[in-house]
Amino acid sequence: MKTLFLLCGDVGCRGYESRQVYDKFLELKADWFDIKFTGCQGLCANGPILQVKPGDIFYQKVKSSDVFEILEKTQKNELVERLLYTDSETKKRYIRTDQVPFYKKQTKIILRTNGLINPKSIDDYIAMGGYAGLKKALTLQPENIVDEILKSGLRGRGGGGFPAGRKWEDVFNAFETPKYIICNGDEGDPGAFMDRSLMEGTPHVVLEGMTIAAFAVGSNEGFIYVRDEYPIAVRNLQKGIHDARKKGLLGENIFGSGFQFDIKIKRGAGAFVCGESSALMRSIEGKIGEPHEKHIHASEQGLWGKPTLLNNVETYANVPYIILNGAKNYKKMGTVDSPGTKVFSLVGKVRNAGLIEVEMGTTLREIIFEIGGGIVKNRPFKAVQTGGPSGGCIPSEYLDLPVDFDSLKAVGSIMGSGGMIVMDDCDCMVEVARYFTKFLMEESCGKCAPCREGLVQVYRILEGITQGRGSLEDLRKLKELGEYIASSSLCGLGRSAPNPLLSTLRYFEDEYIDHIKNKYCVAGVCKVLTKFEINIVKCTKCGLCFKACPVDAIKILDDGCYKIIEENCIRCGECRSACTFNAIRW
Amino acid sequence: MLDRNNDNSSEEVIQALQDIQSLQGYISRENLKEISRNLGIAYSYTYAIATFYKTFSLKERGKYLIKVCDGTACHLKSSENIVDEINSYLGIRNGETTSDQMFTLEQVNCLGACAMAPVVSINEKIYGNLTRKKIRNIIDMLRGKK
Amino acid sequence: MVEIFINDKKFKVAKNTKLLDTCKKNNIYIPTLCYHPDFPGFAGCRLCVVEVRKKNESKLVAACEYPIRSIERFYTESEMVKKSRRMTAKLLIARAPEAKEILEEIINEKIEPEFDTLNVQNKRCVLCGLCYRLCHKQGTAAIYTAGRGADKVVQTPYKDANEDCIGCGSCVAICPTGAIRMIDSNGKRALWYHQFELLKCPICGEQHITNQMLLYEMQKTGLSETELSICPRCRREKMGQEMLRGICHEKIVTVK
Repeated sequence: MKTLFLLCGDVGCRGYESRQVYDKFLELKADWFDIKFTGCQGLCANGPILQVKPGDIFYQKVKSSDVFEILEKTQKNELVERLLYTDSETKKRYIRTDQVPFYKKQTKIILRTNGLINPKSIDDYIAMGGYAGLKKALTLQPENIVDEILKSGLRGRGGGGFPAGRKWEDVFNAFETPKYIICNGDEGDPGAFMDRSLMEGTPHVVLEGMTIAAFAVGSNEGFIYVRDEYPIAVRNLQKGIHDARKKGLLGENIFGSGFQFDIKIKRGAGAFVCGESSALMRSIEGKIGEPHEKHIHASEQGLWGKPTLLNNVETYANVPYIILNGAKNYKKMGTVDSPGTKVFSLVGKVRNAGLIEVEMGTTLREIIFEIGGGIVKNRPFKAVQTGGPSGGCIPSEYLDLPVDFDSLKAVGSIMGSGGMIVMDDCDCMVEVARYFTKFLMEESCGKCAPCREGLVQVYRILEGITQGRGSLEDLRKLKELGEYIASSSLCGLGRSAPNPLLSTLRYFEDEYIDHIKNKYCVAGVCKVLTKFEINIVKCTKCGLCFKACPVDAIKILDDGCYKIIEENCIRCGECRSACTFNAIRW
Repeated sequence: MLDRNNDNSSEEVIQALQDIQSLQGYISRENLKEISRNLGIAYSYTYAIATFYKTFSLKERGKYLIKVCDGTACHLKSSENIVDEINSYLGIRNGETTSDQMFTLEQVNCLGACAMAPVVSINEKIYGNLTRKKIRNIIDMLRGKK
Repeated sequence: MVEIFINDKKFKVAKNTKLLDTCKKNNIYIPTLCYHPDFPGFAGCRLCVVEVRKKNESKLVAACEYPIRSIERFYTESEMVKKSRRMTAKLLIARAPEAKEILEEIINEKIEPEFDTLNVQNKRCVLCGLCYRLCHKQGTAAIYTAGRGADKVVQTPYKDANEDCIGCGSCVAICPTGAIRMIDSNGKRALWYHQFELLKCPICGEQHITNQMLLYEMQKTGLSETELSICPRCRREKMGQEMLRGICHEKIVTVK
């Protein structure tokens, strides 16, 4: 058997020059091995990631200068020790992928083939069992497929967690034709890249899921709405559609069954609000992406006024698995009310930042501390933000919360599409609220007054607080505005827009008060309210802060100690980020 | 004036604007008019679309388009410092272009490379784990390549 | 038919009737700003919010677009409703301080300014969208929005004279806050960065119509240039005289 090298070619690893590594492999090409440039393998923080098969050997931080040695040693059945994953605490080295703590707790259904195949090869996908779900589906009665999805309890992975089967049933029952299938790939949440990784890494699983859905509800035309910032996803999906057509898995007479279905790609144009279903459909129609009142469901009157099934990328990616393995087996994973798995992008101040897939019901602690390896530089955990701008910040007292749709909602956040941003004591919660509010204010479509005008005022007040101009009266105003925007806005975006504000007010009101009354930012983020100094006890005089300071505000004293000159300091915090000994205090 | 589409829209319009933009880097007044005419959409509506969606630029952009990611992960890792550095180093703010037409600065929401925050992309190439000093070096390097 | 309660009073209405229509018919006042019966489906201003009260929870809905489908209890003047309305009005006057009196009239209440005024050029525009929706509905489509969110403004492309504008001024007429400037003087009309020449009424000589309006209406109605260039007042007079003379006025009104 040929040795197979799987090198991650996802954006994260490319940023660490995995392209050069790939080119090096090609340069040293030999008959005894194959090299594949794959989709995301998960552990983005330690990229570029390289897996070797057989043996499932896991290498990280691979550079092009390592390739020669890797080839040489692999041929001799030896390991390149220094490229193995090493636990930063115990210094233990791990060889196999499934032993690495980051992967150990994960359950890969959606990402099963992501990172193991060449995304541009339909044959790779088929070799891993791809399109078997579709093949099976075409032998079933459409109503039985709808029934299976209903029974599986699959909930929409785009955010709200609405039972997918109910949507399918409604479109199945809809009377009018034509019917449309839409896949929402407008992943707009900042700090989230699950859908991108999936569309780039395994485009066929999305196409397969959509085709099954189309057969089930009786549609012949589908659209994938892809965020404009994802050109590689567009390219890989295009290639996927092209190849599937050639193989008779898309287009006329799929698998010789007589069923016809085709998919078009629609590129978004940079509007977060287009993740909202009614705005997304307007955008596909070539209109301004403004939502409208949804008293009539898309399943009745959606795209161009016709019955439309709209699901998110990850929802469709679940479908082939459910059809192939049955609802019963699917329900064995996850929790009773949220079956299956969920893909998260675990980022922020967590050591093992990357793309993960876990069973629903896994606790935040398991995700952040076992899979994620804890907080960078061992700083204290402060909060985790889930659900993107419509979500909220969850404090440490809920670390043992099992993550599913309902539990997150109960603590004032939402599942959202799966962004999980970990924050430590250097993150200011007022600033986080300000950040999300600014984001939402800029992304508000401007149609309805509460969202358009309300968010501007919330933003102004929050900005005032972070700049030391806050008053206690502001807190009352903020609460009132938050409740008002949530109750009176037109669409889901507006109604959930105050979540970052309200959840931080709920759990971190002390921090707001600190800013207002004591003119002090406990996280050392708000520049006007912060003063940095060097803790001589912890300082090792390594000089990293000195090198990092962009304005030369750090001086060396005669005794070799460093000192921050307050007048020159712009409070950017780069010295604090650079210091590995937590010796900068504020 | 009267032979416009009934509901004043066309499935093709966003695609058409995207095509023009990728061809020329921006959308000129003439292009906007032409697209409206060809697709039978009101000029005012095409303009509304072009200003509603953030992708579109109605102004000419520089040779290097610096997109600074301000996604949550980048923001927590002080992407504002990067923007600030570019502001002062190149003298351009968000959406502006240097007078020598070399650099345009745009703040974007998320480039999806959160694990190596803070991140910028310059003409589609991603640079990660940035600091003020690193971004300055990158700009110098690109300048040198004139 | 569905039975509903509005402010605890029972009403019977046809299924899918909009709540606002029901209220209007029964003389229950609901403030509206962006609503217009000829182009519904916007629901942007949120002044028409009404409380739907269920056993354990209440929610606000926009009456203009809310279809009545089942037995529900609506409250149009509850504390929840008033609070939301008041807040909307306060926020709108932070954008458009010069629209204060009009908004007070609409919500029937004095508004205490609470927020800092936004830095926008037009101090009257509340972005209700009536003007550009009308302009598109009538087929001229000269104005629309530019930008989004709080930066949204109603304008012609590039804030420049748009050939599509015929200078009819219907946007001015429909604007509830008087936010669009139109100046007629010395036989000229200034509107949306345009200077239109005003043509004279062949009877009284009043300058009342732009050349572009004339051409547009000729194309749309098939009426002759002379017919259309007569000003509305003279037209009424003319019609009266013709009727007195026994000439049927059908000729004028039914020509399409």
